[in-house]
Amino acid sequence: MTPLDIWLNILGLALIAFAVRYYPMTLLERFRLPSLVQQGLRYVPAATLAGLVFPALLTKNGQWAGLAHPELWAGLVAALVAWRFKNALLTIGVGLLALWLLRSVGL
Amino acid sequence: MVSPPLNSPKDAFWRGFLEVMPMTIGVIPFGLVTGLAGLKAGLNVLEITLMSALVFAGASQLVALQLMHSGAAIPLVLLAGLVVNLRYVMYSSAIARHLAPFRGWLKPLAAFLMVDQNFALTMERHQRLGPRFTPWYFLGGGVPQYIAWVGSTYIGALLGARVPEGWGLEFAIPLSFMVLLIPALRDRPSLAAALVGGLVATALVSLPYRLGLFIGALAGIAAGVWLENRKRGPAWEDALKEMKKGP
Repeated sequence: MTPLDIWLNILGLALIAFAVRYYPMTLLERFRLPSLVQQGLRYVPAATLAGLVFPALLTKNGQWAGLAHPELWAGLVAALVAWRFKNALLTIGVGLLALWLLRSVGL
Repeated sequence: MVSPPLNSPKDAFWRGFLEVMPMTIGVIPFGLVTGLAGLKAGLNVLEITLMSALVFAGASQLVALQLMHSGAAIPLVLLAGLVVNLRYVMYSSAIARHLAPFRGWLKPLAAFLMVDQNFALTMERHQRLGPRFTPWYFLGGGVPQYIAWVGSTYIGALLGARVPEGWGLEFAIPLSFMVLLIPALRDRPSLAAALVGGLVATALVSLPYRLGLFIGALAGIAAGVWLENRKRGPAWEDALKEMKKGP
């Protein structure tokens, strides 16, 4: 890949990453969305965040990981901590600690 | 968490900054890996760092670098970058109303700094923050993520292959999303949206370009809307009733 190719890729990606973040919000100032779509947008955080969390707990290298998967149990412990204490640092710390403990006992 | 009331946009900015800060732990290993992927794809340290500074979208950078490494043509790299970033179309649409008070250069700046963390936190807190402070809170939340992202890809590129893999630090990424997910589960429809979105994304995890995440999100949203409307009738029925009642 030539330096020109690299820069075309970088600049193209930068434009795309900006456009998907900027244009929907500016267009929506001029147009109103149908109420069904507005209703749907309220579920974007729950649905996308779960899509980012679940595969990390349930799969390994693109395959179903089963129950003997330390990430699953460490993640459940972290979910409990997140729900009970609502503290980001504590949740991440306990989750990582649980993962290391489970790995060290050979799960 | 009890927080003191906010007095100025500056307060709101720093509140957002401080509340997103712990979540940058999850970004750092991801940035290190991306820096390393950049080296493998044949970029130099300057190109890798500027890529992070200009693009600021981790998953799309990682996918693009893998494709560049395998010698893919530019249109294919850009198409993959677009598909991986489709969730931002949903984020931008969902947060449009809350960022509407921003004028001039602040709006494109806020859009540029949009990531999962400040999006989810702002959606969760906007009612308590109020319309005046919400956009500043969002902006403040983007800054630590930006610093951590650009800094960690730079360090990853500098360290090269010396990033230890056995520490499992990359698990901090889903954990930081977990921190955001739990408060988003307000009621049964949002719980259904998460379960369906998460399970569909898991089932489709081997699809390329993180398409499973996008499809899962659409399925989850549909489940949430369906459950909400089954309980109290669809939103358009409410609108119809309102119209009949008149102003």
